[in-house]
Amino acid sequence: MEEMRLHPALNAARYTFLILLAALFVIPIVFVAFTALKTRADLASHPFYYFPEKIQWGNFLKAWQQGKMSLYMKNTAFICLVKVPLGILIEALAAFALTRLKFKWSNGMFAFFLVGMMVPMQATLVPLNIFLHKTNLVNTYPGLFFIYVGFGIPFGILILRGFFRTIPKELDEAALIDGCGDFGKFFRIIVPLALPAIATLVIFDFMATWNEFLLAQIFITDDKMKLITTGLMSFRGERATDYPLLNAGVLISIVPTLVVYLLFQKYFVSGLAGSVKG
Amino acid sequence: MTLRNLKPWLFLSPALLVYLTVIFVPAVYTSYLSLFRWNGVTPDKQFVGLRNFIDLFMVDNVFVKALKNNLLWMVGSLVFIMGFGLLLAMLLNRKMKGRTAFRGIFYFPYVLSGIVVASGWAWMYNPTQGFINKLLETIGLESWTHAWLAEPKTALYAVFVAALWQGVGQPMVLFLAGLQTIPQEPYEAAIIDGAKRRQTFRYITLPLLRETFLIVVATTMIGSMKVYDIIYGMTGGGPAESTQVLASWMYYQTFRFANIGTGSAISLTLVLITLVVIIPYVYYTTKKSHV
Amino acid sequence: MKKWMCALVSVLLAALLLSACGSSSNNSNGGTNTGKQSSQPAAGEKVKLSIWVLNANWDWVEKAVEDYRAVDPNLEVEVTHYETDPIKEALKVAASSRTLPDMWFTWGGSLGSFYPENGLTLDLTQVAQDHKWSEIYNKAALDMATYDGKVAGIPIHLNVLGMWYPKSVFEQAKLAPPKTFAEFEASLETLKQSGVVPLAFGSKGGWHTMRLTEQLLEHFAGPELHDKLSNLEASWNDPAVVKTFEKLSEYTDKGYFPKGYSSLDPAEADNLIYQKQAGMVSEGTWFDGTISSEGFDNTEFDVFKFPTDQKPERATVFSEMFQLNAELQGAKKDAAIKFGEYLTSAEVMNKYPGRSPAVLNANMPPEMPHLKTLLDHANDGGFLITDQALPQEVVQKLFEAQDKVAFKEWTPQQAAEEMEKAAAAYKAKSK
Repeated sequence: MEEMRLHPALNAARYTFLILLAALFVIPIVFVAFTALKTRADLASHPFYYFPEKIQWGNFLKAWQQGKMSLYMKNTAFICLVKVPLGILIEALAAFALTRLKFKWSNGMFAFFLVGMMVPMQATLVPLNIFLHKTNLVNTYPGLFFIYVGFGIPFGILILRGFFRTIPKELDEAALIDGCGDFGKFFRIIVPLALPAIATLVIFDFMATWNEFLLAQIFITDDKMKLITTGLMSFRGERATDYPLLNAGVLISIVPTLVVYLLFQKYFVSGLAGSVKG
Repeated sequence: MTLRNLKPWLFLSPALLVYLTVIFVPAVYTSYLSLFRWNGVTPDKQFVGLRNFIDLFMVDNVFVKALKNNLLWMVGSLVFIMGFGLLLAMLLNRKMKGRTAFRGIFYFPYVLSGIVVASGWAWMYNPTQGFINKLLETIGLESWTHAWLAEPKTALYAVFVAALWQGVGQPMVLFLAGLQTIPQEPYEAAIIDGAKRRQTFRYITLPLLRETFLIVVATTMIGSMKVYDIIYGMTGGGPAESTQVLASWMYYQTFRFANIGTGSAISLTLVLITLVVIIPYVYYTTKKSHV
Repeated sequence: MKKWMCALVSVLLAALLLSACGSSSNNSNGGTNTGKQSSQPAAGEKVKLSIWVLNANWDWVEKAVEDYRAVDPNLEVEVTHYETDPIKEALKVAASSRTLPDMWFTWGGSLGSFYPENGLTLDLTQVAQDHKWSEIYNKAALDMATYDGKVAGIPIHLNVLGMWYPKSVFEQAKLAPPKTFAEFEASLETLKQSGVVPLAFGSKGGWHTMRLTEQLLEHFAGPELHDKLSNLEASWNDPAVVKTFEKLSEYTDKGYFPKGYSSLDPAEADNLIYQKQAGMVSEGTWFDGTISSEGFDNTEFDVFKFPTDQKPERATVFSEMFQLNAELQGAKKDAAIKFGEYLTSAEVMNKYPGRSPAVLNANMPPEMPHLKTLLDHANDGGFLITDQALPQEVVQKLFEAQDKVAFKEWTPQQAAEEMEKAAAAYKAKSK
């Protein structure tokens, strides 16, 4: 948009503002990094915003091994790798039905799914726990997938439905002429065209799952299955309160979300663009 | 039913099945529980009608505080988080050096979990060692230092600043996405007509962003009603219950005091308030659709 | 093409349905499942136990489990650690969905009572008789694991609290441990003058500062009224309660607490003690172990009894125990009891010192120089720590009152009234 030229002074002001703000945004993370690179003694004897006396790269290795970060990362990665594609497939099928298959209640169903966004997770914990118990799914991965997929559905459908609607109907007709059925239309036309939206959803979904805390806290009581957030909450090095190791763990835990963001970010804004154009 | 009628439901069924089991049925069951006095374990629940709700509004001063906090949080989010998001999106919506980097930096906190943000910011606010007080001392504003998280007057705002830091990236990318969909022509026409910058924003950008606003407003409102992780992590609702919100107070009632009925009543109140806020939005989007 | 897709979707659906109904073999929490309990393990078969414990200072459990393999090679134990508040919540969640582990750690009093009162714990009365627990465990600890005349847990720790202080800080301020309440208050002022924080309490979560509140209440109310207040048998709207809150307010005004103490994490408050930047804190028999596990030398610290000026001069006490799942049966039940007895035994206590045993014939380990002093403090009697003595909702109100009084949002009189209101509401409800 606006190709109006900015006055040079205005442009400089804009840069200054952005740079200052960016600095403010980076500060907390810098402290996490400082803390992660200190010894406990260094941390105890100097204010925590001091630069480390001697940089302790070894903290990362310790957090990885002693702090069981390797286990938590593996578990969470497994959950994400199954949950995200599975969830998106299910949501895309539903969004396809809502936008491409004519039926009376399509708007009603959409609204029905949206209501789910308003239900706080806490409101479902007791019934869900009973459900998991009755189906013998406590502390099992299928049980977790089921619940995690469930909480992703409203948002996924919202985003995908929005994007699917921007795909011109003419393309569907072309598919019909080519002799594709609805499944063919879904996989050959809609899904490839919706890749930006799907990429966006991958980012959101991956982050939501990776960072989820409440469900992980309640539904995983088996130490071997613990996920990253609850793992960090009960982080244990050799000492109970080893802040440097904890902060090293925090930094390690961020890496996968960053990688996913960087991989998919090129589609990010364009993917959303379709979806927000309800 | 013919196959043709069945087909939409075939596509919908996986999502519907999971959604019903995980969200809808449990939420309905919780609403049912809100009419009882129950500790979650005994076989017999005592039916008390609307007693739990009446007690919440009439007797429980913490609930009222929590409700106020949620509404305050919502207003704050709409004004500041959304406002900052829009501002940043406007600033970053032109070809410029370092655009991707800036976008990445402002979005970055959003990829962190609430628990991580809470622990980091609790350190920032540490009354004696924390960055914020140290900074104020360094620039000679020692009298401005506070035990930010420890004073009921500042605690909620202090947590909110952390939430602002974490959350501003979300509306920013949504607005950036919305701005991308705005075509060039209206601006060109406006310039020819001699419009000022402020006027193009007011009369072109804002109206064309209307649908983006709807999504951002809705998700912001829902998010502020459900806020939990960051509060649980930073203050646990204290000091003096001054930062309790509905989600945390419900969690306390249910899982600390074993008042399943009261907890469920809070959940239901939370859902109902959100519904009241959100139904116009759903109505609007679905009415407009032609599918 | 179409058929192929149809098949895919039906497979997907089938997988979802299956995952919702099957996979019982994955369930590692089997101890809670009555259906599965009926297939009891035969002799020599593997038995799997799940157990939940605390986080800080509980590393020894894994080692003890390892040791136990020599005793029973067939027992597999799965340990899960929790932080202080999360374990309380996780247990409640598990109770409401009947997914409690086979064994869990809990405090006594109102924190532990929920489970036996609702029939969720194994009644160990007979076992206690058969195994002569009265000769093995401290009577007070066993009493505190008994609800309604039934033994509901295997006692592991019996804790006594006292006021801990860094010796060097007291020396520098030329202070001796106070013997009367007046001396105690004088020492607070002296400590303040000498440039340290007199009272290292952190109110995040409420329970840390509560340990001071309850001592003040014991001082003003005396043993008899204090007990009645704890049992909700006397009105909290009482001058003694008002005076207690007045003191909290006064100490706050005088700057006796750390800056921002109302949201300070108790661990950080304790840290001021380790760093010798604070004068005293109410901690318990476990504190020798905590100090050394934080990397400090516990001989640099000492402990005195809070001078309540009352007869008898009572200390705060509380017990900790393992409760066992009511649904345990057969060989698994026996294995769980045996394992619980092992974890609480003198052998384990001696091998992994750092805690205050409930078992009678454990050593006084040299690693815990203050254990005996503290246990002796309780010889004149003790009162149950407040967050185990009061119902949890009333406890929460007390935490709120502590903070609000400190901030002048409530006058001490109002705080006492609010406490009485919460107590009355609880009583009305539980009728």
